[in-house]
Amino acid sequence: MARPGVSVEVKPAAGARVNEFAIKLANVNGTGSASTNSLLMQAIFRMGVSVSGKNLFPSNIQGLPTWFEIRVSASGHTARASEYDLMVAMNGQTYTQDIAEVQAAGYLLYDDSWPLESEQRRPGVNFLGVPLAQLCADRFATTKERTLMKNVATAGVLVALLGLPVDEVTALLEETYSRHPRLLEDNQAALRLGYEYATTHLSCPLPFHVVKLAPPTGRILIDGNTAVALGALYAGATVAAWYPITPSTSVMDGFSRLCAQYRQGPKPDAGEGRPHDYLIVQAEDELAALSMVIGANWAGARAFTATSGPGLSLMQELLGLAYYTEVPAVVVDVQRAGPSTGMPTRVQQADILAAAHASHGDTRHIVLFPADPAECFYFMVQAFDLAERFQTPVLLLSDLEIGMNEWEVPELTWDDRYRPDRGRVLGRDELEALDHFWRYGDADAEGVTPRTLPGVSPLGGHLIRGSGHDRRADYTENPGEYQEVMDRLLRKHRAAAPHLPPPVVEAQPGADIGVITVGSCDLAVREALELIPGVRSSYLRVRGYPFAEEVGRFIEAHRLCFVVEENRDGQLRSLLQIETGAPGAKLRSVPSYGGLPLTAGWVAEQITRQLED
Amino acid sequence: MAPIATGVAAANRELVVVGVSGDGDSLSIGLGHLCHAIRRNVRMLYVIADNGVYGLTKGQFSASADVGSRSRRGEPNLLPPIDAMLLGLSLGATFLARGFSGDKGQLVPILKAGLAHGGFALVEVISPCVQFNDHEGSTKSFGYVRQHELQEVDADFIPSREEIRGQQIPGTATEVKFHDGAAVRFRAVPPGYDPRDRRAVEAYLRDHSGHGEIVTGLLYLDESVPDLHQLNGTPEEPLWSLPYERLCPGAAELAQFQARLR
Ligand SMILES: Cc1ncc(C[n+]2csc(CCOP(=O)(O)OP(=O)(O)O)c2C)c(N)n1
Ligand SMILES: [Mg+2]
Repeated sequence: MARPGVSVEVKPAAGARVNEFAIKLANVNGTGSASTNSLLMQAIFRMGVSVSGKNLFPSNIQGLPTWFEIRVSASGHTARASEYDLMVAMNGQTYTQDIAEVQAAGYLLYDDSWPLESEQRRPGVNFLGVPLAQLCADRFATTKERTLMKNVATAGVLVALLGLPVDEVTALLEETYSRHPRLLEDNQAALRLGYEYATTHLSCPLPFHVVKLAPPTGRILIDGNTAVALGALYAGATVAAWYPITPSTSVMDGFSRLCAQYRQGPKPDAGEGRPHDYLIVQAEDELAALSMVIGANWAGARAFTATSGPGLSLMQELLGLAYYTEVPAVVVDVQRAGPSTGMPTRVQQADILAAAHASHGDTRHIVLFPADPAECFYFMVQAFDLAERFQTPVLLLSDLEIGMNEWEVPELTWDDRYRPDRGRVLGRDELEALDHFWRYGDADAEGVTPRTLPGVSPLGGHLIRGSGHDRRADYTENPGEYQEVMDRLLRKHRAAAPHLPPPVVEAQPGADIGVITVGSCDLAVREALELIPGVRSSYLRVRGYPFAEEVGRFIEAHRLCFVVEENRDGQLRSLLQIETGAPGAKLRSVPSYGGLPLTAGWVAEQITRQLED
Repeated sequence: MAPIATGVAAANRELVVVGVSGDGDSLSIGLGHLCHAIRRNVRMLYVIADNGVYGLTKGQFSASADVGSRSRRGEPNLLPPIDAMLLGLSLGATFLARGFSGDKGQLVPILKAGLAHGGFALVEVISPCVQFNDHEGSTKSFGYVRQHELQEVDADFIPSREEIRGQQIPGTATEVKFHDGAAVRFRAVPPGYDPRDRRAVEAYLRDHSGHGEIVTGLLYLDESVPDLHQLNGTPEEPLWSLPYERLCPGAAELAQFQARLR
């Protein structure tokens, strides 16, 4: 396949760097690069090396640039990298930007079916040319095949450059395409094309590459949205309603797939189909989606919805209804960037305040903040328990980075003794033993009053209303009666705090600096703390609102606290200040709001600069 | 309201679900929700108390107000009305009826039939608002409705458990059976009115509303369309009552599932 005159410009390896590097693949959206990206991720993962992949993609379907970043880290740091050892530059549109991101003495892989102009070269960067288009044009017949297979051939080149065992990658393809022999054949052929070209023409592997460690037992690769869907399945949710929106769509796609697999299908004995033990409604909008969830929860099912920013805005009134009428509901918000439509495929944590106090009037909700897919799974199950125990909406605030990227996490575990906490629900016998049933009377120590399910007993019958009501659930405009209910709702919200996932605290003895963060910032912030020399700092990651007491104590115990979060206005910082009463000067905002995942370098720089000020 | 009712019906298919709303709710702020509940054929009775105004907010025109109908202050409504029955027909509604709050004799059997229907039963009840829309010039006043009502389609509701007694309607009577054995018997006043013929019903309604007439009665019925639960293949037992053990795949399956994620 070699063309005459192809120059190989690999400099000799200065010193090998094993399992510690970052690469970036620049592509055009809609050309089928996604499956190749996960193939590479999975291949590295199977080597037992810590790996993360960040998919930076545009919000339209075809034509705009897309990047995939892979970071391999022997030290276990898998936040987004800020510099790349190898750039796979397959998008002419972004070439200038891409080449600028290559580390000094780094590498750039390009398709030299069209040789580079001299001004496209950057001194100090090693250029690796592979005639990918040419190779694929010779081997595949149609334009579509050529485009798709070029990605796989590129993966073949990378397998060689990064020192991945080609047999294991071939085996991976077999697993993926076991049911599509034709596709399998094409993929394997394309992989070989790239691999063989690289091994004959380039010096492989590169100085930075992968060396196999012990197999990754007890670890999995999973995206947060699939993990949320699994959580809903395991929590026993039977009703789900949603309106499609990026980046939350794969939550319901995942839930549908899981339900098709585990909640229906042929009975083992009889031949006919088993009924579907679930009902998923694609609603007409997010008002309807949350309304359905509220209706279903009121009638006793576990029901949830998944959305993102604009959908959360539409759900505001309904969140107030569920809060005030005390109906459980689980709402997953996979946060994306910006007010209004914003940047749908970019990440932010900018719905924190909107979620905590969603809806008009005095309204406050329980909010859970997972940091990775494992927490998405466990928190989702817990969200249902909390919603039913406290008879109120629970919002699970995930984000695009967690939801739509594959993360390496410890294998999810399940305790078969788990049973849902349905909270205070009175059955027929209990109702018969009472001399009266008041829906909002008889509060327990946590401010929770007993509810009844419709259709169970006329003794539990009552009218719930979003308008002013007293403890009997009767209409009222009487200040005292209204306040009595509102005060109990506040007590109930506070009482939930110790039941939420506690904050993660890593205290350094004697540290006077505290660093507080939330959700997917976790990895970058932890790594950043290692990068700041000579600063002793303690770490706290908030995982639930209302905040646990520990959060206030942590702030009190430190002279200064940095609050690292992905929004412009320091929303977590504001909420911390309001809820803990900490003096504003003590809480320093470190806001990242460009829409890209956080990097440790940036966090370290921000904190260092503020400390110098 | 319609989507909340949809959620209730989804969770517990044994409940009798009744929704009551206004014309403002159903034909403006909640119009989209009404449309989609109709499309999903959620098994419920949905009543629109139609007074042509927003009563609670003191008399603004609603989307059901007729062109030229006057508000209490004398302003004419200029926008064309949304006719809930025609809307329903175009969306594939399976039960459409219109009654008049001043005519209990007709309304009660209609409501009973709606409750027995195996899908979404939409009942529009012309309900003159004595406070804000019962004046001269309004087309939703008691007086106007009494004068312009055409009781074209008469229906007798025969509950399942009762024996079908007497009341044999000669000639053109048509009987439609509900799933639970109850039946509605139509007595079509105009020769050939068939409440199961969507196109004919639509033409008839358009024709009469064009003349300012309000056609009341059980106007359209189709018992053959699957409801929300049939469409989704849910079990006979209500979803809310399914034991958790049946819903959770358990630890062993979770391990199996994750074998593919390595
Ligand atoms: C989101 C929202 N917007 C506005 C209102 C104010 N509002 C209360 S009732 C009503 C109109 C109701 O009209 P209709 O449904 O015809 O009921 P009627 O009072 O005529 O019986 C409005 C606009 C509200 N309650 N909620
Ligand atoms: Mg009205």
